[in-house]
Amino acid sequence: MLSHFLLMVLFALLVSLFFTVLWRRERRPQVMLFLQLFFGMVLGGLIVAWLMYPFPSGPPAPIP
Amino acid sequence: MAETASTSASPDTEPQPSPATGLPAPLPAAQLVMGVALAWLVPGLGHVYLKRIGRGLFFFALVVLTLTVGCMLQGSLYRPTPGQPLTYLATLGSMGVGIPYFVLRYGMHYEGAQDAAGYEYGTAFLLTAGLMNLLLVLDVWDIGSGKKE
Repeated sequence: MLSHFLLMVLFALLVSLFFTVLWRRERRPQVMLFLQLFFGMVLGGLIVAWLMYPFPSGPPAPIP
Repeated sequence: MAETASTSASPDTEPQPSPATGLPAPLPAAQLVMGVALAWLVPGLGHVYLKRIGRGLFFFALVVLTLTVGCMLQGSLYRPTPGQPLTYLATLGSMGVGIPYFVLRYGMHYEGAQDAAGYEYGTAFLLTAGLMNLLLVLDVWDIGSGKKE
């Protein structure tokens, strides 16, 4: 169950929730900001991972 | 005398918004300092002190959850390492979470495990919890000084 992707999603979820409640007071702007932050981080992480794919630094770390 | 006492206690009512800006009136300096100190010591407590109870509880739960995930992943709780200047900065960031940092470090002797599979992620979660709480301290400062709703 523990995987790089799920941990990245969990991190993005927590950070997005934090900034959403910190920066916005009303429901609709909160939802919009949450979606922007969450998908921005997850998709941004995937894009960076894809760009780094041709340049591996070594064997992947074992994840149970 | 009564006025002096009231400045050091929790604000009894939510600060009334200024008609000109719609922002709450600034708190007296003693209350502001108390709010900032509480915000650092316990995540969300500064907001509760300023009568933002729902947000305070939400932030408390979020920061504690982030901290818990970091500990479950056996991440590193930063401490200063001679010869590595960035660890001093990271330690300050981690200490931003307040009392939980000292409970983990000195009460539970938590150190993390460098060979754990989730070590790097856990370290990021633990550091993020501290940085989140530092932002909460700044938020309490802004609310208490009348710059933010």
